[in-house]
Order: sequence, then structure tokens, then C-alpha cells
Amino acid sequence: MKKSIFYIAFALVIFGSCTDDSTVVEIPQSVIVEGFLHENQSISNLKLMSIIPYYDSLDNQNIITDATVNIEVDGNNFTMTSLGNGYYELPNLTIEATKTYKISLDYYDETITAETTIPTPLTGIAISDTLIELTQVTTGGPPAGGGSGNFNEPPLDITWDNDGVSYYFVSIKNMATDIEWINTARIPEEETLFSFSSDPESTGIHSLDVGRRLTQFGQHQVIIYKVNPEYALLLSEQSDASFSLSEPYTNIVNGRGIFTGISSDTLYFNVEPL
Amino acid sequence: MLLLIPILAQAQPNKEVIVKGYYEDRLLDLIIMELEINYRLKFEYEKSDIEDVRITARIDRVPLSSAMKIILHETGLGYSIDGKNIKIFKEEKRLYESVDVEPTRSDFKITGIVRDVESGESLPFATVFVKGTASGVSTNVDGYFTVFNVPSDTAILRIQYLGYQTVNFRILPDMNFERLIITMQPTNQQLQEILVLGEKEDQLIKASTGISKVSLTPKTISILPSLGEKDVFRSLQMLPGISGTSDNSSGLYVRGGTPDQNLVLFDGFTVYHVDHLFGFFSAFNSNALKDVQLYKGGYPAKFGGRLSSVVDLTGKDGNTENFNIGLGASLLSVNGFIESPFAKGKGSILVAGRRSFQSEFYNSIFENIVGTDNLTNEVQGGRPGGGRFAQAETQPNSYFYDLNAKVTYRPNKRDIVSLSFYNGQDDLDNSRTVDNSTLPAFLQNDDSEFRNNVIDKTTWGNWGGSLKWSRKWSDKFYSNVNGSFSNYYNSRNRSTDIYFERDTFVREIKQGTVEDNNIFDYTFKWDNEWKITPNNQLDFGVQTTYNDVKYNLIQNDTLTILDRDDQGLNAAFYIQDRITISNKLILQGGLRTVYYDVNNKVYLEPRASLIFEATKNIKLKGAWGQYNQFVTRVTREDIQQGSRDLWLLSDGETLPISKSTHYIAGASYETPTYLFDVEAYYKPLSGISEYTTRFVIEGRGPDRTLNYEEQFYEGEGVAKGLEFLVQKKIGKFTGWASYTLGSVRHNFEIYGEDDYPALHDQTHEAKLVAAYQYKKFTFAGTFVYATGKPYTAPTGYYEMELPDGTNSDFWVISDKNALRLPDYHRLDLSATYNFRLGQTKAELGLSLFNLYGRKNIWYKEFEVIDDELLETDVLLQSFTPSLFFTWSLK
Repeated sequence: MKKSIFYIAFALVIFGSCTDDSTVVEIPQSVIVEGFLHENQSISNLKLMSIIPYYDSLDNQNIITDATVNIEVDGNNFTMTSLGNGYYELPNLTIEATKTYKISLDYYDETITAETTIPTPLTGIAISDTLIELTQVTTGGPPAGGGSGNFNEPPLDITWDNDGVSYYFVSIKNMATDIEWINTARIPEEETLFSFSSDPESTGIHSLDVGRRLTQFGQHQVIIYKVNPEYALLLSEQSDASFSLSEPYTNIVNGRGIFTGISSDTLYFNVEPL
Repeated sequence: MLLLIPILAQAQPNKEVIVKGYYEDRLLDLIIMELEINYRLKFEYEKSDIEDVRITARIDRVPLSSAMKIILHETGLGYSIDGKNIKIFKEEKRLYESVDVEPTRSDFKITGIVRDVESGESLPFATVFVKGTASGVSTNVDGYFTVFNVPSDTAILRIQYLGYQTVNFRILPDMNFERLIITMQPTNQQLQEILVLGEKEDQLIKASTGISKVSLTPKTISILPSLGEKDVFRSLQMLPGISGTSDNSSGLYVRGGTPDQNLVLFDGFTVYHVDHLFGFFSAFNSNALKDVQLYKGGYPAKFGGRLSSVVDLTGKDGNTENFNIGLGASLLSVNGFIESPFAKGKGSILVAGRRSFQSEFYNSIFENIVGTDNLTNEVQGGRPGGGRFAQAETQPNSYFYDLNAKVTYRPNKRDIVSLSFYNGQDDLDNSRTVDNSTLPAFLQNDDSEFRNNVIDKTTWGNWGGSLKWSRKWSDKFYSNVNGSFSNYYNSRNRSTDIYFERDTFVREIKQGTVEDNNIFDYTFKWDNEWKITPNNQLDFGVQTTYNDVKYNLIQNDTLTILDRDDQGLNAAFYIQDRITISNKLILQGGLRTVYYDVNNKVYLEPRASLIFEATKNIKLKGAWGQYNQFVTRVTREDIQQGSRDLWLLSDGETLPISKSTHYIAGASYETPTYLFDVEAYYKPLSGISEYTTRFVIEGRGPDRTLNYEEQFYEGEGVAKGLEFLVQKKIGKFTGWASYTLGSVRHNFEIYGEDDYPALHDQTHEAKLVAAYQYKKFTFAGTFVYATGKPYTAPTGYYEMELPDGTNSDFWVISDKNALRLPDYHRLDLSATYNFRLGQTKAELGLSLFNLYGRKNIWYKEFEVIDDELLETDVLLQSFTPSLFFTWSLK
């Protein structure tokens, strides 16, 4: 009997091993829309793409150049012009705040549509300081927490009027032509100009931790973006575990990507050695 | 106390000796010597049987037979008298001896109780039947039984209980058939090398007593390999129909159900969370457990409130005979218990506790759960950022403990009152502080103060208690009333408190989340058993549960994102009737009606089952039933900090009341040595839900807002399967081989029209469990082989340039659960050595988990680096050896 139990078990194991439930999953193609409509500007860089399958050749840019793209606003239709590299433009139409714009195109046997309402212009923007003087650090190991090491500096507050509906984020870039490091003891291998963007939040302030964030001297540009909730959703955190993967948010019907309105304004501040 | 002193009436001489004597705590061998001298009697006995037996008795001129009855009262010893020759023996030794006694009665009933011979613990759900007949019964939860239609008063009762020697007990005409006490000896007593006349009941589980029902005791199952701790729930995972591949969950995936669809009762109160150490161990200390009954489906009307299965745990009452103490240690935890009788054996108390310590072994398991011992494909090197909990600067503090206590009091022969208490908790603390003093010297500044407190504390656990009164009104009627309380709590504080001060500038920022989930359960139960006729038993009762479920999530100290506080009452009445026809067919029909006050509706849950004994060896069986579930555990996936399990109360609107119907059919062929069992099940499910909390857009046009809210996706599903079991029940080599062919498919509208395999779907699962006894050693091995579980993976991506000029990759995901992880397999081995330290008992064990280090995959993580998809296999526990040692006084 011991033998028979063994044989049964062995047969079960072999039976189990013969089954291969792994399958190669093929995905149907779909159109990806990269459409950011800036308030008070024309549409110059709406991009259409298709999905890049993993393990496919990276040379394949998967751009769509032959679509007929229509934009509708106030009941009027406009056809965009393909620039041949995946980008489409509509130079004669200026995007206006509070108006709702609709996009539509037919591709991959689907009608792809989306709509967005353009946010009103930013108001009440201010910065707590336009000149930040920091001690240049030349010795010592890398400070805990990164940044320049000037941890005792008060934060730089960038403020605006929050309408309670929109989302806001700031993008800060060093505009200097040459890089001058605040902490010369920890210069990274690849030297690039400082840039940083915050996450979209429904707030009226961004406090920049000067000591930790800033790493270079020079004039810095601050662009404050006012965006719609769909943009905040696009960037909301995605799971990276197989049991809870989901696709990123999209407001494109029968497609993927984003079609959303944005308004923005710009400030500057200088970072100089003490 | 009940009395069991059989007398061989026919063997008495015509003129009896009249005996007189006063004994105060006197050794039995001295009393025997005195009787031999004073009355010229001749005693025959084995010295080991009467060793250390002390007697307190007063005998005032009574016949010898009555004197012997008084002297040997409650000693577990029997006697026979032949003239002036008297034989004394342990009860079980005599039972098989042929007796020359004429029966005096026929077709009568016997009522009694089955107990452990050493500890006096009553043994629930033991089977008692009359040898040579088909009539048998099961003892109830307090160990009581009533056998009807006993053919003669010299028949042999056969009593079986897992982990105990089977007793063949010959009844005799002068026994008290109203209060028969039958004692059973644990099988591990063989280390005493006593003569065993009863057969050994070696089987590890008992799978042949009903439909989809399995019984086991912690005592028998403890020989199976484990991951450092004896674990009943881990052992249950080796049964057919229950997933054996969930290394990271003590919860049971029964026949396509999820752990929350499994009703776990401990001494009558509901336990909502059964995990220690993120699911690697169950929350139940086997030192405090006496019996486990598992219903894999089709369970009777007495149970309700869950869709899939029931695990009914009975705690030990404590030793009613002697004081006992025990200690144990493994590489993971220390444990101990203490038990004692009081009020002259009318009462007993048991306290058992367990606490982990942060050994290297504990840390290795902890690291495996939260760490990075994983395989990464495509790109060499570990996952950036390190583990999900681990921090480079700090070592997290983590521990678990549990405590059981039970007091039982039997004021008379009919009543039992018991108070049971349980508390188990896990703590994880990964908090740390950074301030001026921790900065490099060149950055410190006396003019300013900087402090960064990171609080990262997680605590979860259960409280529970029950007060039970059971009364045996008569041989036919038994009731018990149980009032219980249960609380599951789970709180996490993960926040950062930043304080900055320089000159007149002060800033204090609080960030992070504080999350709290609490479920309170207040239950009252009144259960009754009425044996109307020998072939008809009616069970009925009421069960009322009031739930208070709280959940809140607070962000940045002030912003309340979610704040739920739901109350609900469900009141159930059940009635079920079990009819036996011609000892061939057992039919059971029942109805459970539940009133749920949240939506003010009444739910009817009819149940039915049958067992047909086609031949002496072959049984055909079937069951059908409807089930509803009113509290649901939802999982909020959180990879960075560990997923969160939240219990929520269904409202029938946003969170549906889930429902299932069980259809079960099967057959078994059983011989004294082997059991062959097959069961098929089909279980449609509706109102099942998936839960997520995320930002969603509300409103249209310029008024659109983004709100954080709960979302429940409602869906349905079907679980179906076929289970095979071949079990070798007795002998030195025991165990089983099982195979399950199963399928669980869900359909949620949100994921499209098509069905998809549920996360726990496994097509094939084969298991082998074997135990071999060699002298004082027990060797055991388990092997599991199963189809890999389904998963979802990115199949492509697209890159977009965002307004700030940066590029970002976005995934395109495969159909839900369209891919399969590699097959799972694992071999575990163990060796246990039983020995004596003086007069005390000890046990030393070695367990080898995942012997050949199979790299089974828990799940996969994905990220994109330089346009390459980085796929990381997060692995389950690798090869893990562990040791344990236990010692007890008795």
C-alpha cells in the first residue's frame, strides 16, 4: 500500500507539472494622447502615440502621424495639422480660460474622445525672498539628508491664491549658464543644472526646504502650474506589485494618456554665496 | 464525581467477607497488605498499576465487593473477585478480557462522559459506538454522550478520539449507565512502556465523520513540520481543498474562499484575525487548544455569518486531577502553561502564554517578509530604496504575544460553567528621531534647533472572552448559553513631526497618517440539543451578534480622510433535525433565519445534508446550503508599508451583503486501515467586493474636485473543485495523499465583461503528509505541489512629456490575473523525540522547512529603469531549520 500511495502521489505531481498555465499576453493597440492645453496659448505640441510593448525594439518610437484630429470649442470644429513627428498643432486657436475643449479622432477602429476645461489664470502669487545667501561648504562628508548642508536656513515660501478646486505644483530650475555647487564636497558624477518639481496638491503654498533642496548657486526660475484634478490623478501613486497592478488614470475615452488644461505663472529668485 | 467501578457479580462467593477500615491518604499497596493479613485475601496486581495511588476512605462493615468499590473509587482501577482471590487492574486492561457474565438487560441507553485519564479534561467530539452494531454517537463539546438501543449490558463500547488509544470498554450489568465515565489514554503515553490492550488511534486527522468535515487535535498535529512554532492553522493548510501555498498567511483559503469567509470560533467567541508576524504564524497557542473541528463547506444551520467554512476551536479546561506546569522554547518564542484543579476537582484553571523574542531566527523571518531577499530579473542589483520596513539607520522592534486563560467549574453533575479569555497582539515599532545632535559636527549650529521625529508604529491583535454555562437537563436534553465579547484592533501611526527654530523663526510641520480599525463583537448564543428518539436529534437555538466597526484615517494630524463608525445587529434563529433511518441513511435538514437591522431585512438560509451507508465500507454523501455574510474584511493594498486588513460592516448598498450557495457531493470507502474519500463542490458567490481608497474626480467642468474616498467594486464568482484523499489511518506509518482540482473565477464589471481567475485560484494542488514512529522518535514529512497563482503584469508602456519638461513612463497592464507564477512546491521534514526527565515529560524537535530551498514566488514587483522593465520576484520563505523543546510536569 505504501507503494501505491507513492505512485498516486507521483502521478499527481507529474500531472500537475504537465500543466503550464503561463500564457503570452498580447495587448490590443490603442492611441495615447499627450495633450496639455496652456491657457492663453495656441496648441503647438499635442502628441499622439501608440503603446510600446515591453521587449520590443526601442528604436520604434510608436508615433502616430496620420490621424485626423479635431478640436471642438463653443460648437466650432477645428482640424489640427500633423507635424509628421507625432506632434499636431493648431496655431490659430488661442486657448481661453473656463472654456471646455473637446478632442476627437478615429484610429485603430475606435473613436477616441476627451474633454477638458481650462483653469482660470493664477492670482496672488508671491515669494518670501528673492535673494537667498548660503554658505559654501567645502569640507566634510556628505551631510545627512542631502542638499547643501545649510540646514538652519528658513524655508522659501512660494504662495498663490488657492481656489479650492484646482491643483497646483511648482517647478524650479536653475537658469545659470555654468554650474556652481554650494557643497563642493559632494559634487555628483553627472553634473546637471538643478531642477525640481513638486507633486500636484490642493494648496496655496509651497515651502522650499532651502538647506536640503537647493544645491547650486544662480538664478532660479519658479513656474507655478494650476492644473485640473485629472492631471493630479494621472500622477497619483501607482502600485508596483503584481497582485494590485492597475493602469494609470486617463480621461481619454477609448484611449490612454491625458488631455487637460493648464495655466501657469513665473517667478525668480537668486541663490548667492554668503 | 461520577463513579465507574465495575463489579463481576457472578464471581462473588456465596458468603461475602465483611470489611471494615479507615484510610487517610494511605498508599493502596499498604491497604492491600492490611486486607490480605486481616481477611486472608489474596490480591493479584501489577505493581506499576497501583504505584503512588493514595486512598482516603471510610469502610464501615460492608461486603468486600462494596468495600473494593469504595476503595478504588476514582482511581481508574477496576477489580474482579473470585472467592478470596481479588484481581486489581487498570480499567482498560480488563476491557478485552472475556467475562463470564450473563446479560441482564437489553435495548437500553447509556449516558456518560469521556475524559483524558491524566488531566481529567473532557474530550469533545469523540466517537462512541457499540461494537458489532452500526449505532454510534459523538460526544458533545463538554464530552457528554448518550448511546441509545444498547443491545445488552455486557456489550463493548468502542471509543475513539484523535491522539488517544482507542478504548474497547466492556460494560457490565452493575455499572451506573446514567453516569458512566470513560477515560482515555493519550497515545504518547507509550513512552511509559505500559501494556496497551486498546488499539492505537494514530491517525493525524479524522476526515470520515461527516461531509466536508475534518477533526484534529493539536496533540496529534504537533508532530508535523512547522516554521518554528506548532501551528494548528498551518496544519489545516495540508488538507485537501485548503490552499497549502500561503506561506505568508495563517488564514485559510478554503475551497476558493478567502480567509475572511472563514468563521473562526474559539470557545464560542469569534476571532477576526488569526495572524501573528504578518501571517507566518497563527494567533493560537496549541498549549491552550484541545480540539479543532473544521467544516470545509455545507456546514449545518448552527453556524452562520460566513460564506465558506467554519473552524470551531475548543480550549483546554485545565487539569482536574493534578497540578501541572509546562514550559517550551523555540528559536522564535518562549511559552508556558500552568493548570490546576480547585474545589476538590470540581473546578480547573489553565493559563497559557507565549511571547516572541527577537532572535536571529525571528529577524530572518521578519526580513523575509519585509526585506529584500528577492530575485531581480533584467537588471542586476537589488531594489532601490531597500525593504519596505527596513531603514538603514534603525532596526525595527517587533514582537508578538498571546495569552489564554480558562476557568471551568462543575458545581454538580449536570452543570458546567466556564470563563475563557484570550488576548494576542503584534507590535512593530520603527520610530526614530533625527535632531541637531545626530547631524555631522560641522553642520551643527547653537543658534538653532532642529528635530525630526519619525513615528512608525503598528499594533494589531485580538481580545476575546466568553462565559459559558452548559447544562445537561436530562439524558435527552442539553443546553448551553454563551455570552461573549471579541475585539479586533489594528492601528498604525506613521507620521513625521518636524520642528525648526532659529532666532524668532519657528516652524512645526506634522505630516503622515494615523489609521485605526476596531471591530467589537458582542454575541449571545443559546444552543440546545434534544435527542427526541434514538434516531432523531433536534438542535435549535438563537444567536445574536451586535457589531460596532470603527475605521478612521487621519492625515497630517488634522485632516480626517475617512471616519466610519457603523453598528449592526444580526439576530439568528436556527433549527435543524437529524434523522437516522435504518442505520443506513442520515438525513439532516435545517433552517437559519437571520434578521439584519442595518437594512431591516430577514435572510433565510436553508441547509440540508445526507449520508448513505451503501455498504459497511462505502458511504455516499451530499450537502446543500445557503450562506450570507454581513461583516467583510477588505484589504487595502499598501506595498510600501504592508497591506492593511480592514473589517467593515455591510450596509447592503455601498458594501453588499455577500451570499453563497454550496453544492457538495462525495463518496468514501473506509477500511480499518485506509480511507479513500472524494468530494466535489460547486459554490457560486455573489455580492463579493473589492475595496480601494483613492482620489476620484467628482463633478464636471470647472467644478470638478478631487476627493479621497472609499470605493467598493461589487462582483460575483464561482468556486468549484474536486478533492481526493487517501489516508492511512493506523500503524507506525500514517498520513495521507491528497489532490485538489480547483477553479475560482471572479467577475467584476469594473474589470470588463469576462471572468478572470481570482488571486488565490490554483488549478492543481497535490499534498503528501506522512508520519513514521520509531521507538520514542516520530519522523514526519509534508510535500506540497501546486499550480502557480495568477498575477497581473505590465505588457507595455508609453512615455509622456509633462508640462514641466520632465518625461514620465506609464504602464499598460495585462488583463487581470492573466499570467501565472511558476508552480509552487515545498518539502518539509521534522523529527520529534519524546523522553522523560525524571518523572516529568519532555519533547525535543527539529523542523526543516522548505528543505531544498525552493524559491517560491509570493508576488512580483515591477519598475522601469532606462526603458527596461525591471521585474523583481518577491520570494516566500526559503530553507529554514528550527528547533523546539517542551517540558511538562505531567
